[in-house]
Amino acid sequence: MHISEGVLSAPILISGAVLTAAGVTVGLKKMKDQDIPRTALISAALFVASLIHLPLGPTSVHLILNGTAGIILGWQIFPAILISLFLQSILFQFGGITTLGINTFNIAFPGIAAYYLFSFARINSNFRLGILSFISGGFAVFLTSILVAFSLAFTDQSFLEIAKLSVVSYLPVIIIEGIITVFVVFSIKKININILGGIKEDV
Amino acid sequence: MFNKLNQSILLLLLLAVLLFLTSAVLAHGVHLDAYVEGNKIIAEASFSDGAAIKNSEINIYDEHGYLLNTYQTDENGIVEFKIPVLEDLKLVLNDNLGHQDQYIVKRSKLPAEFQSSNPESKMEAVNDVSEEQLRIIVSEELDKKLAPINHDLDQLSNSGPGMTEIIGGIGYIFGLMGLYFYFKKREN
Repeated sequence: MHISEGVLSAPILISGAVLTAAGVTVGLKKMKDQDIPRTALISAALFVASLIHLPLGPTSVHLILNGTAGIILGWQIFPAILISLFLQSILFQFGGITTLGINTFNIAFPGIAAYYLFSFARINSNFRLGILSFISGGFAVFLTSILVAFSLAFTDQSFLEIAKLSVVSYLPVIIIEGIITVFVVFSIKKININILGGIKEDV
Repeated sequence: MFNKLNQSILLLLLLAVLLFLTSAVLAHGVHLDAYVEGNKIIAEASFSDGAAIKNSEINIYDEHGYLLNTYQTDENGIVEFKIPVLEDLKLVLNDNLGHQDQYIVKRSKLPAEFQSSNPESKMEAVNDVSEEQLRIIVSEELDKKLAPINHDLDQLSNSGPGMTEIIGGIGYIFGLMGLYFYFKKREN
């Protein structure tokens, strides 16, 4: 998911940076003091998650956890992803500084989508909670792979071709992250449901 | 207060599990390395943990950015090809999913015998054939001997992120959190 430097053209990089700047602004505006430790912790988890590789599929893929993070953080996922991707690019040489904007958007935006999708869940229905956790976690990765294909389509190849390749290689991650999200949501439910930003209003 | 404590314990636990998992795992991003052996260039494509990238395209450009040739990596992620021209050669690896790396083979790294294949030096070479041949043999042997060392060096520079970087990154994130709280407190 880390698009390298020198692959994308300037218009894509700039629009990605603008969208990310907008998202981070919204995220920081909505962030209250008590959200800070949670955002930092999830940011650290996302930073580490991309080191977990799945030796499946045609290429080597890694966990993203943007669905799980989106459900927990909501709009604060933008600053969380921005920080973790920035540190990954300078410490691990994943991705790059110029592609930071587009990469952040490609990962954070599906997280927000998962957040709103998950808001349909109800705390008293375990079945509905489980299904929506799975769908939100998987859908975020799916949307990310589509967005990556979309950004790459502006370079030279056809969109459908890359989208197919991208979705197929992320298929194992889609399923695994769906399952991880179910586990995370249920363990959070047991401990303290208020950690989940999206479901708070329904309690 | 109790809820807050539980919340942080859970998230810390999640983090610890993720951290634990990393010790057995691999890193991401693609990596391209190349070295010269005889009159061939050998390029190795790998993920940053060292796993080979099979059947991936490697494009060879000359120093003016003109595409000379495209090769496909084999089972071990290796491509072997004859030196096409005596210039700085740029090798570019792209996996079509947005990962890219490049390696530039400097002209000075290209072998002497290939450089001496132009007609002028061949004329001179007639006088001291033995010395010229000796040079070629020594250089070929040296390349062969050095190939595994080159390979090891590539692996060494390509071992992926270590514990230092991981812990360091997490430290930065919590440092930022502390900084935010510090300034927040001063504001009040």
